Amino acid sequence: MKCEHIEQLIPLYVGGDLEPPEADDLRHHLTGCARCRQLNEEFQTSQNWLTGFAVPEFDEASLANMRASVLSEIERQEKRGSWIHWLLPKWNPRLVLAVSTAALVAVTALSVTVYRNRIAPPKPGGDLVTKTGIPVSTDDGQSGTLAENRLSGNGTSTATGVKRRFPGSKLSEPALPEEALNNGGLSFPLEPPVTVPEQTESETTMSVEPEDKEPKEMLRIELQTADPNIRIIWLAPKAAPTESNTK
Amino acid sequence: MEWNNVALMADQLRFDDRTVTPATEPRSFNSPVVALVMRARTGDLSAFDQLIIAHQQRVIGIAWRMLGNQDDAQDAAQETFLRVYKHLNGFDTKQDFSGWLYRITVNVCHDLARKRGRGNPVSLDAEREAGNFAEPVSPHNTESSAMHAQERAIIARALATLSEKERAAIVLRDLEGLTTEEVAGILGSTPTTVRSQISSARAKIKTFRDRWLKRSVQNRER
Ligand SMILES: [Zn+2]
Repeated sequence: MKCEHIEQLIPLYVGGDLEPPEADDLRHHLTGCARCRQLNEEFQTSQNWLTGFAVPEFDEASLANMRASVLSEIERQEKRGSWIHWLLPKWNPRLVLAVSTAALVAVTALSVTVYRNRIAPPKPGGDLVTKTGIPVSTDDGQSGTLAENRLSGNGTSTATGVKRRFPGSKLSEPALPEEALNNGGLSFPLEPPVTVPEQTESETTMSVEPEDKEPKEMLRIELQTADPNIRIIWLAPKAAPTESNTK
Repeated sequence: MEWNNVALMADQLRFDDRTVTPATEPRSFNSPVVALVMRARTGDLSAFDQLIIAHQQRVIGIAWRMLGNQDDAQDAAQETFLRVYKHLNGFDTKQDFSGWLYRITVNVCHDLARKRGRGNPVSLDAEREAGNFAEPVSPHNTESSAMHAQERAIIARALATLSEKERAAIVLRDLEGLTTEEVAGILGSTPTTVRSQISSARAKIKTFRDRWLKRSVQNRER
């Protein structure tokens, strides 16, 4: 064997990583080559130096502390753990995201349908308000809040589910699913106004106008959000209806 | 695989102290470690605690060698066991638990090193400029714990000059004593690649040590 070849084998030889025939050839070369013998000795010394690298003793107290932190973190996460995760532990986070998005869309569509059903057949004479005595906005607000609760419930459990599927929340967890969910949540305001995805019109940023189609006691407030597809419509009874108001 | 037998024996001892797996469970439990894994999967945290106890020294040792300091090593060990618990359902019980655990450990160390901005190898010159060089330990003085600490610090710096993959390979092969095949399995690599990485790593470490010794001699002469 040539010296160049031997030089490449020596780092493996000192760690016992050569096949026996190769190691035999190398040893044979070393007996007759002072230069390679010297190199081998240097590598051997360096290898002994490295393998003598002892890790410091970790005292029992700090190890116990580490274990306690791990176990309490697990308990904490399990308390937060959602029913979705426990029912469907093998769900892919993407699937969870897709399903929760679908649920979000379904609930929104339902809210819109409920809203339109209430508004579409306008009862004559302001029946809606005077008869029940409950402002429409509150009514819808409740349904909106209910829907929102269901939405955010979904969002939270999915987010937790995602968290549980990805290890090392601090270090390597993909940020996308949770952010996406949060953003989805933000698209839907929490307060009484009913959120209606609008396909038509895109004019005012805010308008307060008496609504002709509505019973005369109703006030309609529209808020155009930054998203052109989302407009917030707030229906509220006009304060103290008087003769002048009703012409 | 000497160390693994030792770890397994430790597991055996600890496991024997505890309630044994119910007779109804499958016979495929080929080791007490797997029995603990199965119990931990059902949410038995005392079983998981036993798993940690059986492996904590080795995990924290690998992390120390990979990251070069105790604080990071402890953070890495903690994160490793959290990940292990979260992925326990994904562990194939026919696999070697230790190998699986060390793979997670190495990944956590890589993530932590990147997060702390230490993903790039440290050059000897950078070390020198930063004044991080200590004098070599004289042979007659090696008993002192301060000397040991200093020696450890120098070797940690030598390891820090390696690439992530070289460091992982050399830590598992030379410092943890795994076989090349085991290292390849843990790193998701091939034995040939691992041989190439450890060869290169040993050469770099020797170069680091040579320069460090040379510089120390120069310092003494000044
Ligand atoms: Zn030669």
